[in-house]
Order: sequence, then structure tokens, then C-alpha cells
Amino acid sequence: MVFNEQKYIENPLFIDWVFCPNPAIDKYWEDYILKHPDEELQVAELKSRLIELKYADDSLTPEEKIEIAEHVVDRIEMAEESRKRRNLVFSFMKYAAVALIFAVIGGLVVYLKSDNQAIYKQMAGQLVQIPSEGKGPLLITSTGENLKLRKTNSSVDYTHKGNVVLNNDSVFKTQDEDEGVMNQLVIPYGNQSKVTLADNTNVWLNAGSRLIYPTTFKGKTREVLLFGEAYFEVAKNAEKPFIVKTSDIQIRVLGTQFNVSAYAEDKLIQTVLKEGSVEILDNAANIFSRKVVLKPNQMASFSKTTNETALDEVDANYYTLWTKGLLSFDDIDFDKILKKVERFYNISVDFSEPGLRAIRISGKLDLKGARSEVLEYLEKVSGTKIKKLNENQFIVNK
Amino acid sequence: MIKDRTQWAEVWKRFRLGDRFAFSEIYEEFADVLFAYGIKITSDRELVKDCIQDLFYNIYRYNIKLQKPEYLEFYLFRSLKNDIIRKIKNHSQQSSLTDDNVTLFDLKFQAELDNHDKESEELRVNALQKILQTISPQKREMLFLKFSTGLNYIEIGEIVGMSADAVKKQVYRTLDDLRNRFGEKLLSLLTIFFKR
Repeated sequence: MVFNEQKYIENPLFIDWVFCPNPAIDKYWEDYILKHPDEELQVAELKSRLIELKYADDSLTPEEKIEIAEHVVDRIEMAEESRKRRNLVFSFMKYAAVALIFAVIGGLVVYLKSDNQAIYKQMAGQLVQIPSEGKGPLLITSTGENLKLRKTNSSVDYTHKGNVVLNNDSVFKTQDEDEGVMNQLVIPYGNQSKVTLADNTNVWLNAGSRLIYPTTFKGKTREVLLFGEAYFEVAKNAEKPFIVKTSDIQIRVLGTQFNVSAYAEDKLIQTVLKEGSVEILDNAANIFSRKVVLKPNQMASFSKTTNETALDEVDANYYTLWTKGLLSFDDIDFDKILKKVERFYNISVDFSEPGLRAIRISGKLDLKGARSEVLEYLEKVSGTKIKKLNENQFIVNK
Repeated sequence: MIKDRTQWAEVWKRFRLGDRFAFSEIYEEFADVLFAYGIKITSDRELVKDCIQDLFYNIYRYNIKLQKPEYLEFYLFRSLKNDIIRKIKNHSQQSSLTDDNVTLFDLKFQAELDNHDKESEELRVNALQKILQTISPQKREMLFLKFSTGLNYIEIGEIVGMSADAVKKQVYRTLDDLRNRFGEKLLSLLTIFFKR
């Protein structure tokens, strides 16, 4: 063959190496050259030539890409409505499609349209937008009904028939159809909630979180969508994997206990395993990505900026204390703890000097106690003064 | 990084089984390259967007069965092309235009310009643009499908209406021809142009 570069040109891995390199593919070609040292020059030369120019053509703008997706889901919705039948796959798909597209294109932007009445936009770096009238947790059903749960520590129970039990007393039926529909539970700052899903999986939702889930699990997997932090006790069912989807990663389990923290404003998505085993997959997983498998008392920290996952040995109990209203910390930056306290009490705390953020503190907090006591305790362990500016604003002084 | 066809077959199967995320995965992956392809068939941006919208709507709405799920990418490209051509023809009948635009396959390039070497890069790109105009639209389309998608020669043949062997021959003949006319370097550059 005259064209002796054929074998590279015909190899998608080569073209990808030149234009969309990643550590795995770099490694592949490093190994390749080690095995074929005689080709090194040719490969390097071809690569350097190829890289000189890049092809850019008319492409879809991110807005156009979202716009098309929205049209698609709107049309699907119209078609579904004309059949007067809500479809589990559809309502989740619509949310998931749009959310994923936003997540990929614009950092983390969540766009949720639920039955034409509630639109939530959650921009990267911003706090979760909770409807202003909803002081307590909010249960949004597939029909667009908003149910306020009065207690700050509420519980929601789904029976196998799709009935919902709120705070162990009020019972209502979701739908007459026995098909599962999507519900979402929105937990504002200053609240926590526990939900028992139809498969008996228990989920504790921390302040400022949102969980989207079907009222019954159809299909081959059990899937839920999480924004924020939750602790899962997944009911065992080896035939139906349980999958927690977040903005950037998904966690697959069969039956186990673990904590996931995936707040939009945090740069890390942390998964801590208490019992059993879980697999973590990047949403942008490809043939080169390795699955991360966690063992008990390990924490996987996925970085949204580098797309890399770090593994650490931790004490899982520490990461689940919040479900009991406790917060324990050992040599942690002061501002990290304050962030959690802010979420829990729905307050905002500023620092008069940036240096104060990095004070390392250790201790244990009982968040069920009075807010003033908690702040006093924090003053003590950090050696600072926390001044109240108004009902919800505080400042940390030396 | 592009998933290979067996992986897309898996994604497709998951979608058919009701996996809510598989559909958006497919959209997320292919919307851009489908657009890049469509916009070369017609410069009517809105029309290409409409066709992509219809394509994905139909996939969802009619829960399309693929004979072989491995052909997902092929199905997407062929359907998009057919739909664009059908829409252009309908349109041109109404507005009495010729269907010259149908196989325009206009490749537009834009160099990634280096600050210190801007001028020579621009010259080079302009030269390349001219050279590409000497290649027939059909050959340009084949080069695009070869280098910008994961399609194989059989599938490309289906889309452009030729046998797989003929496509492969044409691709290599075009590349060899260009190399003979313009040297090795140009050929390498060309392959880039077709890459997303």
C-alpha cells in the first residue's frame, strides 16, 4: 500500500489520541510504542502533523442542542397526554434527558419541568431553588400536586400498592393506575426527611436535597435521581440493581448501605460505603473508563473539575451521623463544617477574614439542639466569635 | 471518545427495555455529529434542526425496532439524510426551486489558528478549501462519514448508494490522488478536517 499511514488512519484510537486524549488512551499508545519501538518515529511524526490543524465546522450551539431536546420532550408529552395516560418511562425520561444535557453542557444546570406548572432552574454554583411558599419539605407528585410536609423531620412511605403514608398517619393513594409514576421529594435547607420507597429501600435526605423516584419500580433496574445528600439503605434484590444517578456519576448496587453527597455547589461528589459493595460509573463512561468499586469504609471522591475519582479509607459512621441529627468532625476545615450547619439551619455565615476558614477543628455537634447552642459550641472549638447580623445571617470574627 | 458499536447496541437495548437514561445518552452523543453531517447536505440550519428533532421524536414515540442494534449509528445517519432530502424536495416543489442544494455537501473549514503563525495557517486552509472543492460532493460525503463517524464501509455504502468495496476504493483513491497532487502532508491534514 502506497499509503503507509493507513493503519493509523483506520484506527479510531489513533485519531482520538490526537484530538481527544485522556490518560487511558495516552497509556495505550505509550504501551503500543514500547511494544513497537520501530514505529515510534512514524507515530510521533504523524501525530505532530495532525495536531497542527483542527477541523471546526458549523455546529449546534449548546442552546440549540437543549432547544431540540425540549421540543422532542414537549412533543412526546403532548402525544402521551392525548392518550390520557401518564407513562413512567416518559416522565422520568423527559427530566433525565433535559437534566443530563444541561449537566453536560453547562456545568450543572438542572432544568425541571413538572406538568407545566413547576419550573426549577438550578444553576451551577447556586443554591437549590426551593419554592418560597414551601417552608417544609415538599412532595411533588406526577400530577403536579404539591404536598407540604409540615414537620421538619418528616417521613414518607410507599406501600407496594403505591399508597403513600406521610409521617405515619395520613394515607393517600397516588394513582388508580397500577403503573408507577414519578414523584419528587424536595428538602429545603433546615429540614431533613426519610422516605421508604416501594421496594422497602430507606432513604434519608439531608437539607437542600432533592430525590426523584418512581412510586413503584418497573423494569429491570431500580433507578432514582439525586441532587444533594442522601443515605441509602437499599433493600436486597439481586435481580434488580439499584442505581443512584447524580449530575456526573451513577452508583450501582444490589443491596447495601451507603451515603452520597452530590450538592450542585460542591466540587466533589462523595460516596461512602458502609456495608456491601457498590460500583461507581462516570456518566460519560466510555470503553476506557474503569469502574470504581468501593469496599466498606472507603470513600470515593469524584471531582467534577478533573473527572477523576480518588479513594480514601474513612470511618463510614462519621458520614451517616447526620441522619441522626449529629455532626462529628475530626481535624476538618472550619468552613466545611459551617457549610453543613448553614444547610441544616438554613442560615448564611460569612467570614470577616479568609484565614478563619481554614482553622482545623474537631468535635461533635447535636443539630437537634438549639441553633444558638450549636453556634456557641462552634465558637468554642474554633476560638472565634460568631456574631448574629439578623435572623438568618451571621459573621465569623476573630 | 466514542463508544464502539457493541456498546451502543447495549445502550439501545437498555432504551428498548425502558431505561430512562439510555435515550438521552444517545441524544447527547449523536446530536452534534448528526448536525455536522446534516448541515453539509443543506445549509438550512433550521431544517437540519427540525429533522434531528423529528428523528429523535420518532425513535421515542414509535419505539423503533432495529433489526440489529449494532446498526444504531447507521440508522441515525441514514434516516437523517433521507429526511433532509425528503423535506428539501417537498420544500422546493412548493417554492419551485431546483433540488441543487440536495447534495451540496459543502465542507467548511476553520483552522485552529496559532498566534505567531496565523497568516501561513490561513493560507494553508484557504488552499485546502480550494482543493476540496475539486473533489466531488459524493466523495466529500464519503470522507466525512469515514472519518467523522464510527460507520463501516458497508454502512457508508448504503448511505451514499454504492457497494462497500467501491466506497473503500473511492476513499483511498481520493486520498492517494490528493497525496500525489499535493504531497503527504496535505493528506494528513485532510483527515483532520473530517474529524469532529
